[in-house]
Order: sequence, then C-alpha cells, then structure tokens
Amino acid sequence: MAAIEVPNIDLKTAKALRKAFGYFYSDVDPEKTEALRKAFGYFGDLEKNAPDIKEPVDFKDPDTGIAFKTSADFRAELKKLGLPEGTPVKNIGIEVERWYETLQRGETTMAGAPEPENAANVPNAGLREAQKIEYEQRLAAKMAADENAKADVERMIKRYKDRTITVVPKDLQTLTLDPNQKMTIYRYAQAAASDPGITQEEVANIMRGAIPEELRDSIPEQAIQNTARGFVEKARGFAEYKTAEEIPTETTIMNPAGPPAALNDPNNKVFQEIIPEEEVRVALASDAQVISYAFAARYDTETTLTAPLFGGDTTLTWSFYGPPSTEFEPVKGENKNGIKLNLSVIHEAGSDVKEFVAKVPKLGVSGEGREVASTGIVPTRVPYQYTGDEALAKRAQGFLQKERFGRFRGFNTQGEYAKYVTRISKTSELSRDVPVTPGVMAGSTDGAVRILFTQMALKKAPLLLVPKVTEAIIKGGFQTTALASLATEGRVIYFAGLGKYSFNIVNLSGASSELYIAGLNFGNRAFGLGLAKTGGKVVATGIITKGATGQITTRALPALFSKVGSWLGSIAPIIGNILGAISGWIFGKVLDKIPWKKVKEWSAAILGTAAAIISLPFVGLAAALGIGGATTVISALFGGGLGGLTLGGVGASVGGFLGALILTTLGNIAGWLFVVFISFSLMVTLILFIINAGAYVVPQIPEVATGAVGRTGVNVVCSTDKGPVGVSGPTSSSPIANRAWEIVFDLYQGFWCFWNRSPSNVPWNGPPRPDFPNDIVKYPPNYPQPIYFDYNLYAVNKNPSEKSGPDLFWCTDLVIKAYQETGHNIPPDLGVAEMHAHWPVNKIIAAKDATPQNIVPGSAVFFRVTSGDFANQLNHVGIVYSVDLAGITVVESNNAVKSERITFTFTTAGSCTPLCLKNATFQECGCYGQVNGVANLPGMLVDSFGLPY
Amino acid sequence: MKFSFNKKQIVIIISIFALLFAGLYLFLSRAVQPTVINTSPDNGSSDVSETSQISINFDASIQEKSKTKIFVALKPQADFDSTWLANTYKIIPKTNLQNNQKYTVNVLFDNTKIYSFSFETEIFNSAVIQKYGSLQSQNDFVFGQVTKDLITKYPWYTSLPVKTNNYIVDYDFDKQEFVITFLVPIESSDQLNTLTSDVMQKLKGIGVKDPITYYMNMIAPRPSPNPGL
Repeated sequence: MAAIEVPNIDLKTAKALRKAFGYFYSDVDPEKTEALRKAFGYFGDLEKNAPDIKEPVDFKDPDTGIAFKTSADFRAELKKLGLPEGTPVKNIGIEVERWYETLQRGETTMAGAPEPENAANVPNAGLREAQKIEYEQRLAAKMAADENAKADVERMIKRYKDRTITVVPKDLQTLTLDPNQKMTIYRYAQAAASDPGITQEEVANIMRGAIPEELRDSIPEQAIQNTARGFVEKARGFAEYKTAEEIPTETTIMNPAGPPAALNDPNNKVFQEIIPEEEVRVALASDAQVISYAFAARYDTETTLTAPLFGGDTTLTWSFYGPPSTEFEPVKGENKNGIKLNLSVIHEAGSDVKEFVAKVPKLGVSGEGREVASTGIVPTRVPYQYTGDEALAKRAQGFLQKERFGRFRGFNTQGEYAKYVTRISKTSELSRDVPVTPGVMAGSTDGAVRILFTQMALKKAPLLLVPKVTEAIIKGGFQTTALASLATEGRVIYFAGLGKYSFNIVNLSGASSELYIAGLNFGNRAFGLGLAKTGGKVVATGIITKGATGQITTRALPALFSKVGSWLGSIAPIIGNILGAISGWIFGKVLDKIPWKKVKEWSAAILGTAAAIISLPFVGLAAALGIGGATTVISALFGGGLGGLTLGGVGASVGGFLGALILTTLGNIAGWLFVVFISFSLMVTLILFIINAGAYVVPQIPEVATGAVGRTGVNVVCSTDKGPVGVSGPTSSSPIANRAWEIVFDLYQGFWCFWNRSPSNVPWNGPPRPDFPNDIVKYPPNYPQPIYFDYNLYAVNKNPSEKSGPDLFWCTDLVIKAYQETGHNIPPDLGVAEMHAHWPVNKIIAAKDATPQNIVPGSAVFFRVTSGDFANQLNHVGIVYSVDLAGITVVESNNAVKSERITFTFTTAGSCTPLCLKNATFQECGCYGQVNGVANLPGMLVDSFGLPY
Repeated sequence: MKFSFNKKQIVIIISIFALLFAGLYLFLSRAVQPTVINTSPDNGSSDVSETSQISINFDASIQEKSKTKIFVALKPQADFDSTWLANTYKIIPKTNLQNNQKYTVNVLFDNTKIYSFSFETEIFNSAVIQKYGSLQSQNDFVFGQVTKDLITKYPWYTSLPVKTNNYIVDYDFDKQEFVITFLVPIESSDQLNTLTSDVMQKLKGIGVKDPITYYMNMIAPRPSPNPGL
C-alpha cells in the first residue's frame, strides 16, 4: 500500500475518522475481540476476506459532529481527503490510523513500511524517500533495542539457574482396558517380542497403507519408520505380561507435553510469585511453549500414524502414547505429586527448539533460510455442519470469511484496529514464508494456508478445507499431520472439491474440543501453533508477549513441523535434554510405585552381561534426567522400601510419559549416549529399566515362554493395509498352497471389509482406470482392476449390496488362480457349488472322513453355513495351507479373515484326564483317540475337501 | 566397322532385353515381408476380455501387395472376420473368445510364420459374472458374517492353534472343549502336569477364561503303556 499525504484535517477530525472506521469495521463484542487483539496475529488476508458489510445505522462523532450513514459515505469522505477509491479495508484502517498518529505527534507525515513498488505513485517522492530512511532508522533502533532487551532477559534468566518450578497434574486420566483391548495389546506384544524386525516392517506397512493415497508423498518415510520402531518397542514392553489378562486393567496416563505446557502463561500467579520479572516469565513461557509443542508434534505423529493399528480405538492408542492432553499447573514449593521443571533446562531446551526452527528452511525443504514472522490466535467457529459438496464448500467459505471478518469488528477503538491491521499488513507478507511450508506457500501465497489455519479452529464441526487449501495440502502437505491430528480427535476432514477423506474417525466432534490457532513469537521469528480451548473460555493466546494470558493445554496441537522429515529426528536430543526437568516427578511420584517384586526378579538378568546392551537407551534417559549420581538415586529407590506395590497404575503413568520420551531419544542420541553410559552406574540403568519395564517400554524382555501362538494378528478390523495372513509363509509343502498364501498375502480389505481387494499397481494394457497407485504386490502376478475388483464402485460405495455381485476377488478366484498358476488346470467356476460339482468325485473327501493323513495341503475345503437363507448349500471355499495332527489351517479370500483353523475331532474311549490317569493307563483312559473327521465351527461347517488334481 | 544383325539375332537381342525388363519388373514389384510393430493384446497379456478384437500393427512401409499375403492363424481355432485399417490388421472374432483360454496368434506372410504372440482371456465372462457373481457374493457375504460372529464370540480363536514342540491345542467346537494333542510321549504325571499347566497358561494368554475344559489326545502310541502314573 502506498502511503498518501496526510490530508488537511485537524486532529479531532482524524480522531473522528478513526472512530468511524472502528464503528463500521469493528466488532461490537469487546470480550471476544480482546483475546484476539492480544493475540495480535492473524493468518488471514483481510484484503481478500473483508467484504463490505451492510451498515444499517448512522455514525456520529459527538465531539466533532462528523456523521456518516454508511461505510460507503465514510469511504466517500476519505476519498475526498485523498484516499484512492477502492482502497482495501485494511489499508483504510492503516491510513486513518497513520493520519491520526501523525497529527497527534504534530507531524505532517509518517510512513508505514514503505513499499518501493508503489513509491512512484507517491506524490512527493522526496518526502517518501525521507520516510523510508526514517523508517529504516527506526527499524534498526528497534532491533537494537530488542537485542538489548533480549540480553537483559538472558542475564536475568541466569539468576534462576537450576531453579525449579513444580507443576502438578490437574487430573491424570485413568485408562481402562477391556479384555479385547488387552488381547490386542498382548498380540502386538507377542509379535513384537518374537520377531521385532518383521513386526516393525508390517507395522510400517499398515501405517503407510492407512494414509490416503493423495497424501502419502507428504508423510516422511522417516516419520513412519521412527513411529514403527517406537511402536514395536512399546509393544515389546507389554511382552512381560505372560497373559493378556495380566495386563493391568486400569492405568494412569498422561501426555508428555503437559508439564512444560504448564508454564505457558507468564501471568500465572504462582509463576509470578516465583519469577517476579515479567520479562523472564515471558521468555520462559515462550520456551515452555515450544517444548510442549515439540512433544506434541511427536505425539501427534505417532498417534495418527498408529491409529490404524488399533482400529481407531483411542483407548488402545492412549495405552501406548498417553492421552491427547494432560493439564498441569504450577504450584508453590515442593509437591510429591509434581514434576520439577528445571528452568535452566527449559530455557536451554526451548532455545534449542527455536534455533532448530530457525534452521528448518535450511534442511532441504525450501533451500534457503527465511525470516519468519508470525501471527496469533484466530478463534473462530464454523457456521454450520458442512456436508461435503463443492457448492456448499464455497458457501461455507464465504460465510466463514464474513465470520472471520466479523471477529475483527469491535476493537475497543478504531485505532487499535488500525494498528492491528497495520501489523497484519506488515507480517502477512512475511508469514508467507513460514519455513516449514514452502511447498504450500510457494504456489499459494494468497492466504490458503492462513485459511487452513483458521479452518482448523472450527468448533465441534467437520474441518472444512476450501479447494485452494486442499490443493495446497496435496502439493505441500505439511499440514497433513496437523490435519490428521485433528482427525484423530474425531473430526471429519472435508477436502472440498476432492471429496471426503477421513482419518480414523472416532468419536466425532469431541465435546471439549475447540481449537485455536496461535503463533509463537520469539524475537522476530515465530511459527504457528494450535491450541485448545476448554470450558468456554479462552485458555490460550499463543503469543508470548507482555500481557499475554491464558494457559496452554495440549489437546490437538498440530504437528506443524512434521512435514520436515528431519524434524522429528533432530528434535529428539532436545527433548532428551528437556527430560532433565522431570526428575522431580519421577523420583517423587513414580518410584514409590515401582513394582519392587519385579526388581527382585529381574535384577540378576538385568545386571548380567546383557545390561550393557539393553541399558543404552535408558542410560540416555538417565543423562537426560540429569541424574547426578547413582548414590542418591539408589538411596531414594531403596529408601522407598520393597513393599508389595503392584504394577497396576504404574505402567501407563510412566509408560505413557516416559515411554514417549524414551522413544524420542532412541536412535538419535547415540553420540552422547556412550559418553553418558560410562558415567553412570548400572544401577541407575536398572532403576530406569525397571521404571520402564513396569511401563510400556522395555527394550529387552526375557523370552515369554517356549513355543509360539499359532496364528497371530488375524485382523477383522477394517483398515487400508494388507494385514497379516495369520500364518507364516509361504512354507507349505504344496505349491498350490504356497501360491494361495502369496495371493492372500497381497489382498487388501475391499467391499464389506472382507479380504477381496486385489491390488492393482502393475502395468496393464486396458483403458485408464482409477487405481491404488501405492498398492504393494509382493508376490506377482496380481490381478488387475477392474476385473478382479470394481474400484469405481468401491470409490463411491464400500458396502454395496452383496446381491449386486460387484467384481471382487471371490473365494473361488483364489482356488482357480492358485491351481492354474501351479499347473493344475481346473475349470474356472465362479460359484462354489459349481466348483465342487466339477471337482473329480474320487478327489472329494467328506469332512467326517478327514484325517491328518488323507487331507493334504493344497486341497480345497468347502464350507457351508448352518442357518439362514443360504444354509444347505455350499457357500465358501478355501485352500488347505497346512495339516498337522490336530487340525487344518486354511487360507482364503473374500472372508472377514485371511485364514481359519479347522480342528480334527477325536473320539476317545474313556476320559483321558489327569484324574483318570492317576489310577489308569493312557490306554485305559482312552487317551489314544481316533480322528473322527473335523469339528464344525459355530454357524458353519466343513462340507468336504477336494484333493488337488 | 559396321554392325549388322540378321533377323534371328535381332529376335534374340530383343528377347534378352524383354527378359531383363521382365525380371526387373518382377523384382521391383515383389511383395516385401512386412514387420510387426506391436499387437493388441500384447504378447503375454492376461485377463483379456472375451469380447476383445485382435490388432496387429505393421510397419508403415508395408506394401498393399504384402497385405494380400498376410494371413493369421488363431489357436485354438476361432472364426473371425478381418480387415485392414491403414497398417493395422484387425481380427474380429465372430463370437466371443473363450474365457480362461490361452490364445496364440501366428502371423503368416506368404505362408511363412513371421510373428507370433499369445494372450490369456479373463476367467469369467460377463454372463458368468452376472449369473454367479451375485450369488457367490451373497454366499461369501453370509459366510463372512458368520466368521465375524465367531471371532467376536471367541476372540482367541484367531490365535489357535497354540503350538509347541510338545503339543498342539485347538478347540473342538463340537465338544465345546479344547483338545490338547500331545506330540511327545508322556512319561510321568509330573510331565503331564507341567505340560497341561503350560497349556493353561498359554490359553489364558490368548484370552481364554476359566473354567477351561479340555480333553487330551495322545498321538504317539506307546509300545507299553506306563501304568500307574
């Protein structure tokens, strides 16, 4: 905007104009806008989003008598005074404010940030040049002053070296696991403990598969790998439980971002009492914010990516990662239930985070460093529930823009608004260069991201992303995780113009969820931060400046930085360093809940030779905890006594917290880890090991027991991943069975969430078709769409009527392909009954005649249900994968599972029980049973087997 | 020097020239063997629709005369019409191709095979899918629902069998009992107790609740049963 000369008006007139501006373009709800004003930032583009409003009333300034009926009249007057017609609203505010301020100082001119491109339009170019020089001088002076102030703050902070502030949880949540949830955890634990490598790979595959195709490129592989590794390590922690039932039913959980977030508010009374200097509090609050943000980024990434592993069950997610938020508050003095936050560590770690943020642009994303300016909190509300179509999206967008604009009405004075707008005008240009969003920002500097941020603040409503934002997201993707984190909260995300995508929608629209967008501002750098509001009051302002109020809660902090693949890795040492602040809590609260019984049990093993290996991550933690020596710790430990405390309750309270933290450090702190390792005793390691073993993170757990569970991970939960077959393979003695296993391995869940979606990422010669470009086919050939799967139908209806008979990979397809591709030319019968009818009679064995000897792998097995309209006819067919002395394992397609187990039933002459065997022989007790065919299953029975031919 | 030809010589010379011209003409107007550039379906394609037509694209320099010498043989045999569209020889089967069939197409030029390719048709034709797809979908759907019910009611079922080197544990739904099949000879009651205890622990580990009922099955016959365990 080009500044114009101050018109020939007096100060009172200028003041009246300011009022008029405020009257026409400001809100009437000062309470609402106060928080906003304090937040002082705005991601939106007023020029685009500030449409004219209808003014039904007159404005009259009592001091001067100046009156306008409408804003048009007001603007007409301004035009007379030299303001060009069509000046955007925000610039009107800037100009009016400038006039007023200039006149107030008795000056004739004052420029805002000069804009060279418009300088030619300035009537008095010489004056303009002088303004520019003056501006630059003022800017330089301001920067110098800022630096001095910063140095002053640093000096003051040093006075608080090693001082602590205790924060206590307001409410630690309790997690209750039902038997099914325990079983899920147990299975993951068994898989992770028995074969962590494969489990990690499968977990990563599941996570990849759950990411919508359009967004897959936007999720860094590093984040997936880190999360998968972390998941496996956490799962292994559960392997200590010998049974699913042993897993504690109730555990206390917390979010690791909670403690540092408690220092968010520099105006907190307790905080004020401890730190009288406001500048110090402001600086520390800023540090605490970025720290909590770093935690939150990690949390969001992990919970979002792992949600598919839990079938969207948030309880399970929380059992691994803690809840989305845990609110802490500072208290005076010591508190055994509190966490001591070491202020030096907070400050240093916070500085590290900020420093890292400053480097983000140099991490290969944007290619160059950029100054970042930020904005603030933009609370807003969605006007209605958006239901999905493009027209509605546009309507909502327009409505929302008005709503947003409306929020800026009603500053206490028009001058405040004008200042505010001025600031926006200066920062909005810079805000385009938020370093973590170059992919987005490069092509959309007109506010797409800012709109997105505003959209993220929707209350109890689906998140609506206007088409431009959708495009920006898909191009750039940094918001992906942020959006996903919102989705994890249970939100539906609508990408207008591209249909609806949902990320594990659970508990839509959480009642307490009201999201805010804020900017963290430190020095002249800042970045956005999503905050939460609870209880109907503004609890976060996001900007750490004088006068900022509120308190951060950590609900749904968007992982803004997750786009940068190196972020998570790079932040880890910082987070590790932060851990120094929590020692008070651990040793004040946790140690008294250590399962001492396990201490005894595990001591020998842990202190053995394996200790050096297994301890590494925990020594790292030890360092992070700032433990100065073992003696104190040991004393504290054993001073706590070896009482018979149970494991319950400790697990998640430590695991949800420490687990996340430790995993954050894994793999990222090896360098200094070793140094630390030789500095601390194994006993410290032991302690930490125990803490975490009692929790959910155990790097090395003794073997659970000999033998393994036969089938694991059979998935009946709907997901977008392949899911395991349930039996290892392909290791059958039959090529047919092996090929069947391979085919089943590659199947995805399709219609009705049955395993009937044939992947299709291979070249094909047919016409172009919609596809799953990221489908993985490990065992080609595969069977392309649309013949083996009707993608077009699937795209619009995943649960069509079964009567419609959509193209899919039927159970018979599996048999036909497995046979034909291994040289067995069986007729291509789609119907099971026809397939059975064409099976050579002499190759059919009735279920009642089946024995471990006459049923061979590769055989077809024909099923039927026992009730309903489809009873009394053959319904389903699978392939025998393996046969043992006790039963038959079958692989199949187009069923809710990929494999089933059929049991031989045995006829025993007597009662082969231990009681009988006390006084009789095996023979006499009838222990040598005779196979009597196969047992039926509830609701279904095995009709017959078709031997290979 | 003066050349003079008698009548006979003139006839001979003219004849020679005539032969030369005829030979040259025949040489220049001969049919050149064309080159196949690509085909549709591609060689080795699978799941080709039974309604597909077959196209053989020749090099652009193919002569009209060469076209007349091109023939196509389809194995297995099928009746078809054919036509040339520019450089493409199009084969239009008079009836749909057979489903689930591997076809080989031999391209002959002047009765000599110059190119060959194969493809496989899709397993089911639309009529079959129309006829059986709906029914099979319903059957599979019903079966899948029963499976889901089974797993909901018996969540540990998906973890069966429990297998070790000593035993296999399954569930006999007919008898509503677990069946423990021992894979090793049981030599003592202590061994039996140890193994059954292990079984119980593992069953609980997969979520089976007390009371756990079971029956045992000794697979390995013993030459002399050990009395009085």
